Amino acid sequence: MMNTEKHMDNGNKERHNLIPIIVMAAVVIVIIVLAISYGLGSSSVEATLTVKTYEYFDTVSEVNVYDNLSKGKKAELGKLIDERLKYYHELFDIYHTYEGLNNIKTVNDNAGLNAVKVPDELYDLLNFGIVMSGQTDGKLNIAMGNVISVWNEYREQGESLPPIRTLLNNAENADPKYIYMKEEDKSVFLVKENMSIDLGAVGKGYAAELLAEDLREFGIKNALIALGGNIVALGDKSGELYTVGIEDPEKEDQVKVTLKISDLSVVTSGDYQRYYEVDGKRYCHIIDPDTMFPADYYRSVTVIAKSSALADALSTALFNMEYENGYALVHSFDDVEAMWVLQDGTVQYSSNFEQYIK
Amino acid sequence: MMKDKKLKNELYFIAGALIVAAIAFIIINRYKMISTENASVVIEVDGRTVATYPLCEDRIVEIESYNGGRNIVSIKDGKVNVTEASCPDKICVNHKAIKYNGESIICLPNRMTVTIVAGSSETDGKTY
Repeated sequence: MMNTEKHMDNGNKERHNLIPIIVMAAVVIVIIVLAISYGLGSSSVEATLTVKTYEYFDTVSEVNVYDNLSKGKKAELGKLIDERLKYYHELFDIYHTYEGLNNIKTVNDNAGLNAVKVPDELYDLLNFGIVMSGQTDGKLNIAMGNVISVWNEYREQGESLPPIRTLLNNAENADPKYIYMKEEDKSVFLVKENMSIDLGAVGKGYAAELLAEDLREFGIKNALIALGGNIVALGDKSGELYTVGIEDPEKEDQVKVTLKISDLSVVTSGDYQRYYEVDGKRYCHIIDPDTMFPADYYRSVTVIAKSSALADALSTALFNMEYENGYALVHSFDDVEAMWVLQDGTVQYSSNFEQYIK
Repeated sequence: MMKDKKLKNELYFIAGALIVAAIAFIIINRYKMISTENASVVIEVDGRTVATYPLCEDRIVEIESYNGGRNIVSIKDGKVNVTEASCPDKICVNHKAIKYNGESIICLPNRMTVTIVAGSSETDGKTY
């Protein structure tokens, strides 16, 4: 009897000592679960309006608005976004002409023949492209449309490389100095016959910037614009930063680095979106103006800048540039940061890029 | 007296444990529910994504899987099931329906996976 009682007492005592530990453990678990669910809850601020389009700029575009809007305003804004995107798309479309609109194709079709009066948005974009050519030492060249079109043709066939002779012939007048801009009547004249303008490296970024301006004019303070991979963040998400993923060139649809940004634009140029392979070598859609061949320094280059037009133009120029030159170029601008993904998957950052990494 | 106190302590302990468990259960369930809003059903064959559908839309799809195999995936009322398959073991068909973020059904012989991936909660945008 005595023995068993003693035993029981001991057992109870042990259990007594365990209670605080179990309670503590339970409290810790609850706190962790709460923290997870709170963290998740706070990051799921819902957009008040989402506009998604599939028909412009050969990509999926999405605009998410985070301001409170009346039903009427939402409908009005949805319509405005679609109209403006359609307009920019038609204006920067090198393949089609549109009734009553002088677009970039009209300018190209009149190469060597006539000056073409164009809407302000296109005039300003061309001016910007010419300025950027100068600032990037020609690594961004909007006048090499005839070279790019040859590459596009061969990429679509997917079998062989374009003959060097064809590339050289088409590159002969691929120089922005042959784009004659006349401020008085906002006209553009391509001086040489065998030249054309391609806006692939600047059009989407410029359109995203224009759309951001349209939203601001409408009174929108917080929105995230994505024209394909061209991101523009207006304001923030109810006091929270936007999270933007940079795609991993090696793993489709997966994120390599996640950024936290507000009031900034992020644009990436990569070799994995459009490319083809000949004899086991990859040839991407970004053509180095100096070699007339696809650049192969990097898998991708991402640029963060205030202006989406600048970010777009610089990401292409940096893609075509050796690292040392690119690094110097990035640091010659205020408030521009860049991330390079090298061929082996390693990453290089400009001096302040990492402050945006989540 | 002593016995009463012990009993009381044990009751407190049991009650406390029950409350903690109940709270945890509610929170975990809510967490799962929140996370499948805007979720997608991602179907992969041999490591490649072959299709992505919204979890909230009902549909039945036939997937051409590895080596001439085939799986029929049904999305209904926010739940995903494999209803038919050409594989010998039928593990995927016998798998219970999935509905929470991160859950998946795998058919090894056909190298096919169906996964529920939470929608927009990860990032707000992507640059590529």
